[in-house]
Amino acid sequence: MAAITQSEFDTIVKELIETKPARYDALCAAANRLLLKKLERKVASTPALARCCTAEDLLSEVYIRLIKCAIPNFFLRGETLNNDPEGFCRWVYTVAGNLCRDKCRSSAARQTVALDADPDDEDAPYLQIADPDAELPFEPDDSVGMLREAFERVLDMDVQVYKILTWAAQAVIILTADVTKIESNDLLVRAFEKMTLFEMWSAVTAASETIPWLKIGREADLRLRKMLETPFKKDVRYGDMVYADFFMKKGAKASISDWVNRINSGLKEKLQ
Amino acid sequence: MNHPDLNELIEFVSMDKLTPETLDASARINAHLADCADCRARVRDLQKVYDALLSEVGTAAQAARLLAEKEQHKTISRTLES
Repeated sequence: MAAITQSEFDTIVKELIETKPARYDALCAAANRLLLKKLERKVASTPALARCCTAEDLLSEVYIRLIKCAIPNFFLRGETLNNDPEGFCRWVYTVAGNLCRDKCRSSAARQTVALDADPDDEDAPYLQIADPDAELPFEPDDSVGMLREAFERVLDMDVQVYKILTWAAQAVIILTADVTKIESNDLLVRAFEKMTLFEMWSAVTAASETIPWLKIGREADLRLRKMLETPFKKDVRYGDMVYADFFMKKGAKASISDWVNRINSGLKEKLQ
Repeated sequence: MNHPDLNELIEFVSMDKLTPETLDASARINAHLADCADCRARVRDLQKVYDALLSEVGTAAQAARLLAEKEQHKTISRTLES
């Protein structure tokens, strides 16, 4: 889990606050370590950002924000030194997240190209458009537990089996093949189109053994296999699926989208 | 204590490039901020106004100019009132 040690934190404080004039080497080194990979993933998976800047550009702008704000807004927000390395990491993530959000907003405002798909089309699960106002989930949190819960919740609902399979398979592909969500769509179809849903689920559960947080519990597995048990569903091939055959509850969509967005925003690194 | 003047503070909050000059200037301001709660409060206020102006006008230079004007108006109003 990305974090800074007390010793690194102390060095930052020493250079920034005790040394005169201030020095930023440790501050920027820490920001680089905490953020560069995450920014790379964020840029790769967010067209609005990729259009206007590279991860390095964003990182430079984060440095500037940190230089301006580290003392008045974090270290000496109050009268005494805020000696909180974990809080510092969270704050750095927030600064980066706000920067990305500001960049997306100005980029989206300039965008004039028509998009291929209607983002509200529930039958187009592959064509999610990045929401420029979405909070960047950089904050370290209990992602493992939360994601597992979200997955269990999804299985609990009366949702399109197809969509569960799609998201699970997509998650496996994104995490094992280290691709972005957009690249994974092709791989997904190629890998699974000839398989029956049953075969696909077996393949996904087998692959998920290597991904700690996606490890599908026995109960969840049994539940989904039961859903697949009608002769119709069992013999249909993934590539032949017809959306209209299934009924999708609105509430589930948010969970699944949320889950996939979190995968996209680079939790993989943290969770492995 | 040698407090930075308004122009120096505005330069600080409107910093938008990492050049030797901006890094030097900001390093001196930060050295002072580490020791002065009043200037820290001042910087926070200026930062808020600067950020709001920047989202309106789009460039750091324009936002900095507007910020300087706003601050000058405030000073003039205060002088007139006293």
